[in-house]
Amino acid sequence: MPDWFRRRHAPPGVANDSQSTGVPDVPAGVFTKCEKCGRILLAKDFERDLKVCPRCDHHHKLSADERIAHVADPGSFQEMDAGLSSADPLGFPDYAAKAAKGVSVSGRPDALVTGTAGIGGYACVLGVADFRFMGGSMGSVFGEKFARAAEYALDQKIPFVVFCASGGARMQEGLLGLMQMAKTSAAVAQLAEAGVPYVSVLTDPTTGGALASFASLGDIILAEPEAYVAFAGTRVAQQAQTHKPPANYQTSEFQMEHGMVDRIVPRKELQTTLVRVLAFFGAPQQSSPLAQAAAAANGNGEMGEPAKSVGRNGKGPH
Amino acid sequence: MPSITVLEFEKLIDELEGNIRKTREIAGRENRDVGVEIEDLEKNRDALLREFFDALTPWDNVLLARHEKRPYTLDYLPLLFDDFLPLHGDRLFDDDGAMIGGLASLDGKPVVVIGQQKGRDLKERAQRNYGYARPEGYRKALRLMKLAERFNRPVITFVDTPGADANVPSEERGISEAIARNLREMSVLRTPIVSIIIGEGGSGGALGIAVADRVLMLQHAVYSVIAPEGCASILWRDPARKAEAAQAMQITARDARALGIIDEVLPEPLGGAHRAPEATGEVIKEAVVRHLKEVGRLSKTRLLSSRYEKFRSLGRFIDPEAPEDSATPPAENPAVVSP
Ligand SMILES: [Zn+2]
Repeated sequence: MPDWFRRRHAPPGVANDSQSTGVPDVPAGVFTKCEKCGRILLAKDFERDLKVCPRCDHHHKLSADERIAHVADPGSFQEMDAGLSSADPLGFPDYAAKAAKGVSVSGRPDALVTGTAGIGGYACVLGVADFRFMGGSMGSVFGEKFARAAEYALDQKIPFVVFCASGGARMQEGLLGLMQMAKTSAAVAQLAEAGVPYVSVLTDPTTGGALASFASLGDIILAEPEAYVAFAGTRVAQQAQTHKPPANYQTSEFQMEHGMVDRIVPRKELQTTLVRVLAFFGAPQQSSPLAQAAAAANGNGEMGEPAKSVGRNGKGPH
Repeated sequence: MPSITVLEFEKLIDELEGNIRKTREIAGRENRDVGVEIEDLEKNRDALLREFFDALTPWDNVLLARHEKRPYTLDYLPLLFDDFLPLHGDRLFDDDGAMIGGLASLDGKPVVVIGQQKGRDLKERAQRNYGYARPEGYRKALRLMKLAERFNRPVITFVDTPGADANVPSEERGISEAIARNLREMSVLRTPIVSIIIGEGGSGGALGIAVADRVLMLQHAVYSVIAPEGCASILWRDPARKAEAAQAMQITARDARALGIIDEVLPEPLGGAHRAPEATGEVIKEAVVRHLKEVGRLSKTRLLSSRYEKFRSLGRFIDPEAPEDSATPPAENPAVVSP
């Protein structure tokens, strides 16, 4: 181990990103360390391993962009409704500041990214929540983008795949936040009625109003290992507890044991598992007209620019 | 702005009413005419009530919604329905005391009634889990809704819960799944649904039986994404700032109406529903009958598309690409749309 690893303070010019895990400070860029076991990892290995710790198998949270890069075929993702942003409908204390922070941390105007993608050549609509934007909470933008994406999947008769990483309804939007549970669930109901597949993937964390709505409604529900999957937060639950919780309480494993999750899938197998699921559903191949149109749109425009008008609000993928 | 809470204020009113009673008793004993005196005292009481209730804070509404004397679902049923035949069980695991349901007849027409139920005394509170419904409750509710759908009967739900049960057994049996399933199934249930928030509309636990064609709310009921105490402890790490949280979250019936979350605010008698449950029941009944009549006229296709649109349209956000004529935005921010 290099000498500077043992120093409490980083040498000049090296960023100090120590978390208080009792692990020495790590120079940014070259090294990183596991949030759970504290193991020092080479950043490039960590990226190659999809941010899964080789020692303790901890699955670190991914940003929406990282997730998309992992599961979608290269270059296939065409974002939809990228411009929607929160309106602070209640004038809630500090909401604007928190949303602004979410924008700067995640580089996105809200907590859900949607678009069309190919997964192993199968066309689908993909929704990915980004926990870094206000805990992936469900505000009006989240619900609207979810509904538009579902409606696009319905219109195109292609599967809707959603990665959840969300603490639930966004308090700062009050009842409008709560109603996103109904809005997303009603959108899923439209898919179910029309026989359009909907796949839900629970990642760390999936809690509260997210789990009690769209996240629990997948025709197939997958989960990443040891993700926090819970109705009520630990603190709330402890106060209410009359029963002793098991050691794996409110994890993916606990939820699967109790019949709430179809399958726990390690991150490195997630893409191939999704391909098998989409194959079962008979999802159209990306060589379909939709995929060609999307590819054409990709060729003439940058991500985030409108390409063509489809769907309910005239916003198709672009 | 009143400096005392509604519960403290009610003590004053109790005192006043004690005086009125005493004056009557003395008059009865001494065979004296006190009509004018009594009328005066009552006028005074009503003026105080009116003044206080005109300036209720959101937190006062929380206290009223949780009032120990507030009428619960079971108190309203005999006031609305000619009969009520309770039915039990989810056919899967258990019967939930916090969620009641059954068959009833509304002006001679058969309906399915579902409601959350708190307990009046300690024993009943334990049996009904303080109104915190368990997965079995939501599954029983859905079973009865499906029954209503199959036999083409309207569904009427009464919402009154602090929230869904968060204990280990409920988590084990999928409380989230039970609520989520209800949200999905209610949004496509092929029969009219009217929901009334009569007391506490506690978050997803309330919404789990309130995805309806018409959502009505008693004047002093509250409906919120999280309990004010919970909001205050998460945001400010201080549950004592609950009144502030209640204000910020806009949880009153008037707020919910302004946000487009509910369809109608049902007025309560002066001083709150518990001061005149019968009169409150009459108001609820009139509104339920009227709304059922309206939605009952719609074809099934129209009913379902309206219900979908109703919840689909809930949300306010900024859409830079929205065509300017496609929305009716609030004047102060032309980019904000309610689709
Ligand atoms: Zn590790």
